Amino acid sequence: MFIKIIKNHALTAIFCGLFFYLIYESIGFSIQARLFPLIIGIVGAVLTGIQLVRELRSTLFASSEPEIIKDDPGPGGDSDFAITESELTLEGRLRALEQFGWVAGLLLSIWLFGFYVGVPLLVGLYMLREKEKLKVVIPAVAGVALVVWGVFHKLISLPFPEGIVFNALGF
Amino acid sequence: MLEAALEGLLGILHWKAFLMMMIGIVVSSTLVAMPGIGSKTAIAMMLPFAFVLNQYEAVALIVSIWAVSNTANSITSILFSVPGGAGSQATIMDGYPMAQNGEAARALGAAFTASAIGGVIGAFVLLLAIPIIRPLVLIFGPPEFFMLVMLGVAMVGALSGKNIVKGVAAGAIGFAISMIGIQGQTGFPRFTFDQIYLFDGIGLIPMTIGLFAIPELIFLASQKSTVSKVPLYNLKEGRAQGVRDCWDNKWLIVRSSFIGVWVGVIPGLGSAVADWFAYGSALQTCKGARETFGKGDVRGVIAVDAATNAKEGGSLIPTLAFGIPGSSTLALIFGGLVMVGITPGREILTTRLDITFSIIWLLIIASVLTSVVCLLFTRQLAMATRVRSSILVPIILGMAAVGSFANSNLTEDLVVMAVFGVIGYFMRASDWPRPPLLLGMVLGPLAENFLWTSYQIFGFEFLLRPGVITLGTVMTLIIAYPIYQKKKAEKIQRIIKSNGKSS
Repeated sequence: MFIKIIKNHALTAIFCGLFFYLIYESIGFSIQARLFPLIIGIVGAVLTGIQLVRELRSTLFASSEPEIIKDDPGPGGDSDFAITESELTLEGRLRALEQFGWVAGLLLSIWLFGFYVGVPLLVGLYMLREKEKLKVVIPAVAGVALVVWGVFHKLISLPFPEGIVFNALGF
Repeated sequence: MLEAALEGLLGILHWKAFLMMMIGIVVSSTLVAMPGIGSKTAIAMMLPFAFVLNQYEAVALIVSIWAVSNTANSITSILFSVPGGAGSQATIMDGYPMAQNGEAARALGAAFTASAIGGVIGAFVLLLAIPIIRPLVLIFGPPEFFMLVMLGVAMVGALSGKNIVKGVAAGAIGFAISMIGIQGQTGFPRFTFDQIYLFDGIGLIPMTIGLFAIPELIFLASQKSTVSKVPLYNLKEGRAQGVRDCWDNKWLIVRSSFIGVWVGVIPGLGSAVADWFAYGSALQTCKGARETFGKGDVRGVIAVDAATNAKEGGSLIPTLAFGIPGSSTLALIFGGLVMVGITPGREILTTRLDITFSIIWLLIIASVLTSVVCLLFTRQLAMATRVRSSILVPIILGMAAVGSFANSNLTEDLVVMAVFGVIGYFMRASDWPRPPLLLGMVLGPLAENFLWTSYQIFGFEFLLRPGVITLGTVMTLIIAYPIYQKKKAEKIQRIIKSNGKSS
């Protein structure tokens, strides 16, 4: 039960905690700096508090909740993409975890090798991991490298960092 | 006045000025469509070239880049759920599901057409409004502006998703995030944890990319499929259907355009607000929208694109009439005009009225031309939704990283993108709506500014002003009405259920 509560309501609890932190921290500010944080903090803490209590009630007394509430699409409609069934499976979660790994890998790659090499490198590795053929991988990597270098660096003059490896090698 | 209108038209139809406009359109359509590169970057890039041009040519180049940026921004929003810029965030909500349903051509067709019409309406309103707009803007003081901002966030919050409390709370979270950094009026650093990067606050572009694009990329990768889950329908027919949809929803376009113009008129509010206001309004006013919006309803795309393009006409009103640029991009345009010897304000409305008209003509011609060019390439654009995720995901991820970096040329923006990617994923998984959070983040600094000014002038009595009470009542109704409807629906279902059991 405890794990279920943590799993289902952690985000709401974090948001609620965030608002309490907002109130706590802003008390020490001057009136000008604390007015808005205090108002928003109080409103947010009340709203997330209500939401947390509702969620906990629905988990603890799940059987007594009327079914219609779960099935109801709600008066607000769906204005954000709902999570899909396939994403909730173990395979879906593992796949999502892998993708987060790729995002972390991209950041690491940029930190080590800079944008010119890091971004095309990640693109190439990802495609190879997904068993794309070399005749697809090579043009894609070259195209990405060209856009990063040609458009973003040469045309727009973005000051891309070199990456610590190239810095250490004295490039 | 007619003479000035004709002179302005002839000025931009001269082959050199027309060529500059076409260059502006091409630069804007290609560069601005890339995530993280907004019209501001594109204009900043082209400003040095404007130096050597005559006034009409310079105006044609600068204004055309800006006028068509919102049209180009919709492309990646619809195809890959990656917002090209601030004005195309709400386009994702229905544009991307349409692309997933094999209706990318229809969504693009509708977006481009609505953009063109919105742009034209915005330009005409600008034309008509100049003599009468000043008293309208002056009716609202800081307290009313504050309530207007709150109303906007509450409206989007209340109408986003199944749970109103979560929606409004998400808006409050957005406000809270906007407080990070040095406070505008006092220079006091808040919630920065002694990190210099946080002194400037969280970047909007990396946050948006993280919040929306990363979770969708993860979803796309986890499906191991293409964006479009079904074969693309007849692309030519889809494009034509998108254009027809605009005709079928002509009043929605008009309504949304006026929302866009009104948001544009208010300095400080920008595309990022106009799109959500128009989306929220369409969600509330279109028949059956509450069941279909967010699942690929073309009306969601039409409302947003009409509003964001119409906003440009509106935002030129304070810029040209009072010399108050409503946004940083307009400040850049303002600077460009001054650079070539045109001073917005009294001069541009009196002795150089031809320049004002040339800008209005440019808004019309550039909007229509861009939409026609984009419509011609709809087929090629829509085909991108059939590219395998194994090719699409790493390329978009790479471009998203570059786009995030381009926000302020800081590598910390990449960390922001990744962190908000995780937050966005868990919000999506826990049914927390993301749009109100984004709107709260965008409007936070404005809301705080208006709140403090109101407090300074009136104390807490600003809450008793008639305009504030009216807007507060509207806000309460917007939040309370869906709750009332939900309770009513539950009651009816309970009665039906108990009747079924008893029989």
